[in-house]
Amino acid sequence: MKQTIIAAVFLLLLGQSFAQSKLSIDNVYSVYLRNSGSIKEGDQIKGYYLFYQSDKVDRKTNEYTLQILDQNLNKVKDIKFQDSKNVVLLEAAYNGATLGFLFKNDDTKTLDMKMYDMTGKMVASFSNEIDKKAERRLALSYKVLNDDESHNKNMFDLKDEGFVSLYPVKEDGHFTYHLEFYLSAKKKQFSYTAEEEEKYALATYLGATDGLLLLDVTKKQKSEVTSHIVGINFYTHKKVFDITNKGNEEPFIPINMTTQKETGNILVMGSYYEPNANILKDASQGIGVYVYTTSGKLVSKALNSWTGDLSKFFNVSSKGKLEDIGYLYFHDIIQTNDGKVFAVAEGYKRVADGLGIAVNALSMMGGRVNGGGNTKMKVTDLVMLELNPRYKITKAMVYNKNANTYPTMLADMNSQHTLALLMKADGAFDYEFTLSNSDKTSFSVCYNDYERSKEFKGNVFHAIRYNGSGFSSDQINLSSKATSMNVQPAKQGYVVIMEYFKKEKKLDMRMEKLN
Amino acid sequence: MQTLKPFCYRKPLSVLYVLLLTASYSIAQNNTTAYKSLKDDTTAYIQIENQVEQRYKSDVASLKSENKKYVSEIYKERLSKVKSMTAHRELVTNPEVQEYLNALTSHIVNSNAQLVNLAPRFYFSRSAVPNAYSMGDGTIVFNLGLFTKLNSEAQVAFVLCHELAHLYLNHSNKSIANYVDKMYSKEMQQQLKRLNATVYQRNTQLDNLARQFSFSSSRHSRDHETEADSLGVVFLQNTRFNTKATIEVLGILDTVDVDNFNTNTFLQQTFTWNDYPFQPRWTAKEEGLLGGHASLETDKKLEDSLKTHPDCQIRIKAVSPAITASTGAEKLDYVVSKEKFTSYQKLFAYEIAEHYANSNNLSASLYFCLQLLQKDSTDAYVIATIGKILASFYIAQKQHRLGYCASQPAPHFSSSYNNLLQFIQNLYIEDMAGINYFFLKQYEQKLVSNEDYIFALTLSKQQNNKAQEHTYWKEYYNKSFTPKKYNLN
Repeated sequence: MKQTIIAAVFLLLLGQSFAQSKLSIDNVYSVYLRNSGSIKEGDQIKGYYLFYQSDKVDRKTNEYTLQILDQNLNKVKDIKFQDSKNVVLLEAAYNGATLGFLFKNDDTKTLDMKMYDMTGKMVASFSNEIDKKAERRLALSYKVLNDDESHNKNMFDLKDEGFVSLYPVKEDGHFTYHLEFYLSAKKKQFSYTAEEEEKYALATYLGATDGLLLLDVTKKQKSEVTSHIVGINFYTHKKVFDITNKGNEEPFIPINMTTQKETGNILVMGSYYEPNANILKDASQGIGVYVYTTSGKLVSKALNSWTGDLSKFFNVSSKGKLEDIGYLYFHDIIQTNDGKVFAVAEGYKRVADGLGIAVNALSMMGGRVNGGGNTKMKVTDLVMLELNPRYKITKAMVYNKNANTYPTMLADMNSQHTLALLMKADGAFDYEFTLSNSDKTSFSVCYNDYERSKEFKGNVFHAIRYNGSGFSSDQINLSSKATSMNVQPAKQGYVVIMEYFKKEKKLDMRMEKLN
Repeated sequence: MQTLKPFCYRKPLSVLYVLLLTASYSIAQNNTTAYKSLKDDTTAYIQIENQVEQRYKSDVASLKSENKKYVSEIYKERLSKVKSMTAHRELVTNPEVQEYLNALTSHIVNSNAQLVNLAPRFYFSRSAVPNAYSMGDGTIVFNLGLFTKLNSEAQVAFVLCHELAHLYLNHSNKSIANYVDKMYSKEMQQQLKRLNATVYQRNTQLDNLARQFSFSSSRHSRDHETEADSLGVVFLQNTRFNTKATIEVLGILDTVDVDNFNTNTFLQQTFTWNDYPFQPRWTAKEEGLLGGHASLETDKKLEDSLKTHPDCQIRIKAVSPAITASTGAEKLDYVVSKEKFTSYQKLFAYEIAEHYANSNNLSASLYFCLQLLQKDSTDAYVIATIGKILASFYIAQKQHRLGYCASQPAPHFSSSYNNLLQFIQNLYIEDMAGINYFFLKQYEQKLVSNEDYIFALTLSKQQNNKAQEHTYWKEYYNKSFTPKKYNLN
């Protein structure tokens, strides 16, 4: 089960909680913490920021302080600047040399990127207007609940070059995407708007190589839905390739990517389908690993079918449904430096909804049409698949969880894949995030569970750690004297435990190592 | 945590809680008998608390200023800080050690008639910070971390004379009065009221006001230090101690923050065995601003303006004429006992490690123990303590409470200490168990009569999943030691 996330924005009023006859500097001083978050480089948590309103300059302008904390929560830098009073810090990222902060300014209706070097000196800033439609899409993209918190949503680093922000746009009835590239070294910015003729193109960030940005794009034209891997060169500003599943032997939906160290080739992993399948409606056939050159040419592929390869480990139906577990939704795929590949999945299935059936029966008895769904979704166990360097499944491990249910009116009407996407967007899965170290020698897969045992009742945070040779598991019972307790991703092998004490108006953060 | 300038040996009130874990060691360890921790006189703690409470009451009663309320609040904070030191057994109340300190201080006080009526009270603190300080209520605290850096009783005597000068000149109380009078003056209150009602640029103006306030306080503080040096030399001249110690102490303080311990090399040499070799990833670290090992840039000009102490070289220059003039053949480096000074210097290095272990600051304790181990690789106390600390880390990590007993690397720590903290962070729980197992195993034949060692050894067997060995050593412990310090059942 997911836990409530503490509101990131809260108010700090220093020294004003007690009456005092005379004033001191401390109790006249007041700062407001606007928000806080982590600074990420790819999938690595590199530090944290606290965004304060440190002063009011005039009617329209505030002074802000960006307090930078290192990966161990030490304060290392204060960056002060003045800006409009209606500024929101959306996300932060780090590319190894530069810190990038993406702001939304409601006064100027702009999306502002500010980049600072490691001394706190601004190296570049860029501003882009956002219209009302784009703003709505932008707001929507940040409202997705319970997404994987170890990844940014819209702003990503481009290795040493700079950053890119990706957001959806809706113009003239076309729903497509827009990219803003911010190159810190060259102090250049350029935009890329998809020149697709399709009516609908939803893009998500897949990854970046030294010169390519890779997007997973789902396009819809008329009633046909296709999945694409789009590579954009961020030096030439041009699309290098658009690999489509249309007409492929096995169309597939990418989950994530990495680059092969030796060849520089791109390794894309995802679920594959039958030829001419509708990827939104039909059941996937298995998990595939595809190797492409940086120009988009397919080098090799390895397919692991549910009914063939996975049936060595599970009882699998022809539609890929595992006995007791259900269908698998893949959250992440990790390639370790020893060449092994691990896929992290979570089971889900439709089950009869007793309450829904009863409500419907009563509705029908009363002469009304169906009042609700007869089925609901059930989230089951966590599954870890190990693939060898030739990307074939060699092991499957099941981590039992207490199943939790996800009631939805849509359970009766959608394909299993669409339902999984809905569940993911709504935070119905228990998977939280995967932490891996930069050289990919180890990683920890983290998830939540709700336990009801004699010893403990409540949320339990679980971690499955791979140390290069084997797995171990760990758990943290999320109960304390705090009003609420929450576990956030931190540097590899660590989590930040946040405890909020409502009465004391206190938020405690501490880093703890996962076992 | 804030850092304390290592060259400051009069600790300002605002940094009383500070732990600065500087790194060097200065003793030549030649340990033949295992260290036993100093036994404190628990009744002395009650006496100290009563004395400071009495003094607090009389100090408050004698206040006449219109800002009595605010001065007494700071006095109360001072009182609670002394009480906290007694509550945490930071102050050394061992009768023999206190007797030695009293002998030193009595000689100084009795040699200076003007000091007799001050009724100063002297205590050693187990803090590793190379510092000493006068609290203004008659309490003078001398940290063991400073004692272990000094080379003679005469050097200790100069530090004591310096602190007595602060007390004699009433610097601490004057600073408090000065702060309160300024902060609560009509002029300042008017400024603060105006700023409180100001909507725009309020904090910027407050920052400027605070900076002016700090500049003024720092300047006063530096003036006080210069005065205390001069008067301290005069007090020292009236004793039988060698006055040249003044220059020696200031020279030592000038470089006291230089960290010579090469942590990573020592860890690599110590924690490697044929069956369990050292792994480079144990000491791997990320540098740079966000890596936890940043070298923070400082505003040198601003920092100089805010220094509470003048530079040691300037202080040496200032006191040198008085010292040259006072040189006499009869002056001594030791007046009380060279033998005791030498033995306490050695003992105190252990007391520091033990104190941090007892305070649950296990990473700091491990740091000091490793330095002691470098001096003597056969030291039973050090081996057992390292074993107990690693076993405790294992338990804490298992319970996700390692953060309560081991610090994270931080820019304000020395790089040597940060390297140890990084090592602790990098270890998987199985590494922690493996390292402790192999570290303690090599002493199995030599330390069978050391209860602490056998306890740590038994835990290491259990944590490394060596069931048979664990059973053997548990039974060995249970039949070998009576009464028992630990329960292994």
